[in-house]
Amino acid sequence: MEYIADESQLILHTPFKATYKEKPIVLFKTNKGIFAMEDRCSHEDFPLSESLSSDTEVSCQLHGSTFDLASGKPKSLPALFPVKTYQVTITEGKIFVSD
Amino acid sequence: MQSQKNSIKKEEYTYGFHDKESKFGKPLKGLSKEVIHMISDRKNEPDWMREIRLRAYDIFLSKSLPDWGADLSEIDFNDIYYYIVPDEKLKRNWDEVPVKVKQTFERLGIPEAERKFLAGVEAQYDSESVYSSLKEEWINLGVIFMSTDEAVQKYPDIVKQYFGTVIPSADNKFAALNTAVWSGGSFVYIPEGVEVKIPLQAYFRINAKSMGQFERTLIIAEKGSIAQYVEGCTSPIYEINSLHSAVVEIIVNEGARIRYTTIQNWSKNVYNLVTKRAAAYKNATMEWVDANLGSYKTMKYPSVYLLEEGARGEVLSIAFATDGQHIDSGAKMIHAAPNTSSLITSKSISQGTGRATYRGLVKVHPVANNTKVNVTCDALLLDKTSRSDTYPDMQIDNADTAVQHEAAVSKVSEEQLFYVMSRGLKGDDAMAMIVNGFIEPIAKLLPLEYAIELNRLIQLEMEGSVG
Ligand code: FES
Repeated sequence: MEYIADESQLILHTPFKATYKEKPIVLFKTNKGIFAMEDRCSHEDFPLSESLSSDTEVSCQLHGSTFDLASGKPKSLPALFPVKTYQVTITEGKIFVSD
Repeated sequence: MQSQKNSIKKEEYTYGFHDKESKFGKPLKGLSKEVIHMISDRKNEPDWMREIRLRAYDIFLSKSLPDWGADLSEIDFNDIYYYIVPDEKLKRNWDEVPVKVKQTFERLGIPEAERKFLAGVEAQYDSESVYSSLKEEWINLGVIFMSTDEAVQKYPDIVKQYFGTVIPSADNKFAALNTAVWSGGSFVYIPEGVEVKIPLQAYFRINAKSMGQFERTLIIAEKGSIAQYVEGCTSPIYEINSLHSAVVEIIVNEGARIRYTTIQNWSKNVYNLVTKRAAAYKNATMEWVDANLGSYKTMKYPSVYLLEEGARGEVLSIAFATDGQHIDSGAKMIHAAPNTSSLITSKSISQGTGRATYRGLVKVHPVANNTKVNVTCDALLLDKTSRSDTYPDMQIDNADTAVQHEAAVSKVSEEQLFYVMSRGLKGDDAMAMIVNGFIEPIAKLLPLEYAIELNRLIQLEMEGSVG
């Protein structure tokens, strides 16, 4: 489990770029919780941190594939494979990420 | 794959300058949020569709034109009508229709009423009598076949679930443009296990305003269903606008089979920039049969995403580029599951200063074991000035793939012509015979009346082609 940021640093639906195990990840705070995923679209590697999210999804800016924030699964083409997602734990306003 | 992608909060789409005054006013040239609101108002659309449009408009502005394919730099997006109220369609006099277009109608034997519709003189062509008996048959089978506008009103849940899931608006600049301003196109839903024997033809739905510059078609074939959809006709479609940008999304569920046939002949001032894509699931088959004639520049690459085991995709296309035209077309096959197969057969003909380009992509992902790929592209050059290019891209990331690829460019030689002419044919007819023979493998897949029209059209194009 790695400390990533303070909850107060996150803005609703706005991407928060970070690194986890030296890999770029992105956090999204939504009305459904805080989600962490690899910052790389499974289609052609475009950073997902370029997009705003909804409460449950994020759409890649480059070709529009939409991913479920919780599972990382694509909900639209052209992406075919899921984006890796991470466990988020919040303790006393601090956000931790784990596999 | 489900879609709830219209996810960004509503407040972000509340734009300040929604001008109610212009609601049913004169058609507006150029693209703006005002035009999009006008379209949505006129169609009395639900908010979710208005939001999809507005978001697509932002995406359209943010994307640049493709830096490959046909040269599109001359398109003036501000000089186009993005929505013309069907009943107030810009009327034009029969006299204004170019003589060449009129002659082609004449030679093809297009009926009077239809000629006027196709030339934009009449806003509607009454085909209701032919259509209504078929309509009843489809209703009895549980098939839904209507304009996409109507489907947004009558079946919002199905449209919402699938719209933009196969081709998101951010896919490319023209998909974004279409999503922002789409109008017309067909919505087809085929229930599980249903076979529709008579091809569903957009042609019969002219009254439902199926033809247009920015039509949007969505076809959902449920498990085990079978249907054929046919769009277009061979007569030249003469448009006041010079841009046609359609989007066609097809979902072929387990064991279903869809053939989508297009035969279009745009007038030679039209940019024809179309995105067509199908998602094929387990043991499903998707076939695109595509005949591209006319237009100034065409860019069109029907694709099939083979998403589950046993899915099969086919693209069979004919492109015919005559003087001044550039037809850049091809196919895409994405193999993302084991035991999938694809077949691409492309035939192109270039004449005079015409240029036909084949551009294709086959991608086999590492998970796609035991995949079969077959690509054949044949180009026929009719004279010394015509040009043909081929850009086949094969990305095979699985060693367990059988690939067959053939490409051939041939020229109609003096000897060939002489041989056919020695059988008693005139030069033009001989050339037409050679061309018709060349496209025959694909033409025979067209419904008979279309194949006959295509033959006649090629004959017309060949006039004056030989000495
Ligand atoms: S890179 Fe994200 S959809 Fe293409």
